[in-house]
Amino acid sequence: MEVTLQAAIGMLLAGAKITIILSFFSIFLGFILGIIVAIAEVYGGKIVKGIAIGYENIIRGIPLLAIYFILFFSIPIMLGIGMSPFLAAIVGLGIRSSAYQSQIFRSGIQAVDKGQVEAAQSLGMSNGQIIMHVVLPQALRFSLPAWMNEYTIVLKDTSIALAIGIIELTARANQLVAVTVEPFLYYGMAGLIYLAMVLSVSYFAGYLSKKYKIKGVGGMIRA
Amino acid sequence: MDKKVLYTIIIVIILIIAGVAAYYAFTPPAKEEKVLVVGTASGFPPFEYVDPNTHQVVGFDIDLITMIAHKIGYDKVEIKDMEFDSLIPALQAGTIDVAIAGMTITPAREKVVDFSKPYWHADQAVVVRKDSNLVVNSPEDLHGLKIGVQTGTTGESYVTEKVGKDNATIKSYPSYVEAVQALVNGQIDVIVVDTPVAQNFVHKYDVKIIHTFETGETYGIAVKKGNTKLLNEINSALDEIMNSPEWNQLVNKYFGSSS
Repeated sequence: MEVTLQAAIGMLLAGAKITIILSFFSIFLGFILGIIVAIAEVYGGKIVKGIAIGYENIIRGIPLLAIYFILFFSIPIMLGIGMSPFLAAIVGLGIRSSAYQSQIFRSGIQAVDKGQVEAAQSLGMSNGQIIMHVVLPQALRFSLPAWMNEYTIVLKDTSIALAIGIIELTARANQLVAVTVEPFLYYGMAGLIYLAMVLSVSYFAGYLSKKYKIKGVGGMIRA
Repeated sequence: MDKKVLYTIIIVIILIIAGVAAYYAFTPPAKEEKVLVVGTASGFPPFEYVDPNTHQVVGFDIDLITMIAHKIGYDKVEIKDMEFDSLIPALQAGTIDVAIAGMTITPAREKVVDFSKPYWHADQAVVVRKDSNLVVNSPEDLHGLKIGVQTGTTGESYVTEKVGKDNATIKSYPSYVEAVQALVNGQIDVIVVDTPVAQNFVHKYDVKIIHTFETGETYGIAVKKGNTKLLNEINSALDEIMNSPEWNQLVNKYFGSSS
């Protein structure tokens, strides 16, 4: 079957749109869960800390494909309630990413000088205030490069959602290859689109790091 | 940026996500029409593939299941395209009502799903490069060759059983596209695949079909184990269609000449 270049590009871009939407929701779900887990891990008592570390280890130990199958096939069989494929894709990827993001934020939080926390305490700030106003604003800035790196990983891992019926970029390339039997051309084109997306993210990350740089911190080794 | 603005943005984003999640989780699909949810795995032309111009899944199987659905009183079919390996779990989970995807009826699959009557006979084709002068008339003729097959297919089990791992080098590829690429590049001597797939290669690559092994394998429509009512309806609709002129029209549409 002959496929015009225009139709092929249209199909791949339709897939790329799904990839971007899916990665966007997933990274934010992971962001919210990841921050909570990171705070629990650094400031929590023994039990809370244990739960947070356990969560991380379990989620990081399960392949994404298995998480998807559990969410999309096992839970409906066991409980009789199901999720739409798109919701399952977001939740699965978001949960998976949260276990990695929590490590990024944990190191970000720990990078904030202990003296600042003590100073805030001596000013009479509550724990919540210290986390929101002193620790997190800095920790998030420290975490930015690693977080953007995580985003590029999430962006590419959206392709695994193909297994539960999400027709994203890789799925579209598969479909084109199936009709034309020209793997080099269409996987190559899909690869270029992924590359373009990742480069845009990197560029944006560079812009953000500059914009939200803490004056006097970073850029040189402090004595 | 002002902190309040930043927090507002974060809260708005969280609310949007929560809203979308709640929408997908709690809105029951408006089902006034009777819809048959059909699972398929595009990427197996001409049985099911995506038309690059319309982005819709089309093909022999899709036309057939649409005809069946209309005959047994469904208003429309909803096609869910997924990986082939996800189809059986999706049937068990109730995500789809039927699966039609050029699925060969095998005893292993029959343990976990119920199959309709066979609607298609497929054999295994032996494909070589156009300049090759191999002659294959029986499995013994494949001895000593490098044979490519697709993982999990009848081609793989046929070659393993009839030729044997000791008599030839059997290479399994995740998809037939990779197998045909390996053949063209000269990494393997021959591939053994389903006949409709082989016919698809011949138009595209410098390869030819030199022999067909009659394996008597058949394709069936799968439903969830125990869904006898739907299965009986599908079987009688299938009977009706296969004995009518519609069947020949359908075959001609996708295969040119008769099967």
